[in-house]
Amino acid sequence: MSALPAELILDPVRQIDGFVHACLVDATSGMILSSLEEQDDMRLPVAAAGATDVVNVLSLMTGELAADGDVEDVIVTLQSHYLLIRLLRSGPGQRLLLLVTLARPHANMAMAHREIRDFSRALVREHDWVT
Amino acid sequence: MNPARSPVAIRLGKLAEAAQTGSLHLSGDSGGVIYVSAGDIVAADSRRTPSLAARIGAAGLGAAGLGAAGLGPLERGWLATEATIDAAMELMSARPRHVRFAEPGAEPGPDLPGVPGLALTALLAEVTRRHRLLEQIAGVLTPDAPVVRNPRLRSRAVHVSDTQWAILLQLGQAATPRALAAELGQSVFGLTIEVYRMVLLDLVSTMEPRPEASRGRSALSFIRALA
Repeated sequence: MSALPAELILDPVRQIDGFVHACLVDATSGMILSSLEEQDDMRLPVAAAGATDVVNVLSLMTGELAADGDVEDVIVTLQSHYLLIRLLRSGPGQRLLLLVTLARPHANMAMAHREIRDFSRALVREHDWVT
Repeated sequence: MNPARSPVAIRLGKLAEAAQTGSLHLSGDSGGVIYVSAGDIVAADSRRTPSLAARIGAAGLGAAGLGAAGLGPLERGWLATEATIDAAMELMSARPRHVRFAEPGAEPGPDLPGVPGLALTALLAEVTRRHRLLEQIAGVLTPDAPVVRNPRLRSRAVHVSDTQWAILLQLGQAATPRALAAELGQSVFGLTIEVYRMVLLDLVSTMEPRPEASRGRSALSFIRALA
């Protein structure tokens, strides 16, 4: 599902050290709305589907634990990569997941987390989305 | 049934091969129209899914149309793509008595200026993925299975999305995900997935519990839908 102008809005994420790929996913349908990758990567749909599953499970878990507050972001540490998933709302009824994959040897996790948080906030502000 | 092998998908394949432009009209209660441009699918309307206009209205984005203030090209594209895929999914499982192709100008076109089309292969991949997801949860819920709101909460705290709140408010009486989608101007597929999540949270129950339904266990896996 590419060819939307959405590709442009992910461009700042490319500047994050260790960037491999990023995508915006509709949290309900699991559909990729926009993606950005260094080269054609067949793993992107798998990563997006996995991120949707992870957030679903965590949402159920926080409900069962009666934990206060919804999931804000998820960090997955693999031996070779970091996966960062951040939840956004783009308007009434639509929740989005921002998934960013970084190559671990080239990434600084703390910096990347901050940069992705700032990028998400700027995106919400710029498009007048709901926070 | 594999949606990619449906008669409608085969017909769309021939239109894509020939890079045709026009509209494919499907008769009957489950019919509608699929608009193609140079073989790509630019829009679809089904009688069983909310129209794009209904979705824009329900999203509170203004009734003035796609150019309404507050609806940027990004959101416009997402809304239009979702409406097209939702409708196309229904139309690919339809069994119309008559299918007719109309050249451009012979029939009114879609009201979708500036929205890019979808290649047939991309559309079929997405429809197939959604079909698999609905198959996973079919033991518990289908778009046409009525659900009711549960009077009591099982958990001490539950997080619900905007859409789930809207569903709870709308569910005064039993309703199907398809009827809720029409009321709320949202995707039938998306509403079915949200209602399924609400079944897991014990917020709603199906009217006709199915024997194979396993309460509290999520059968929904987006990863498995890619296999």
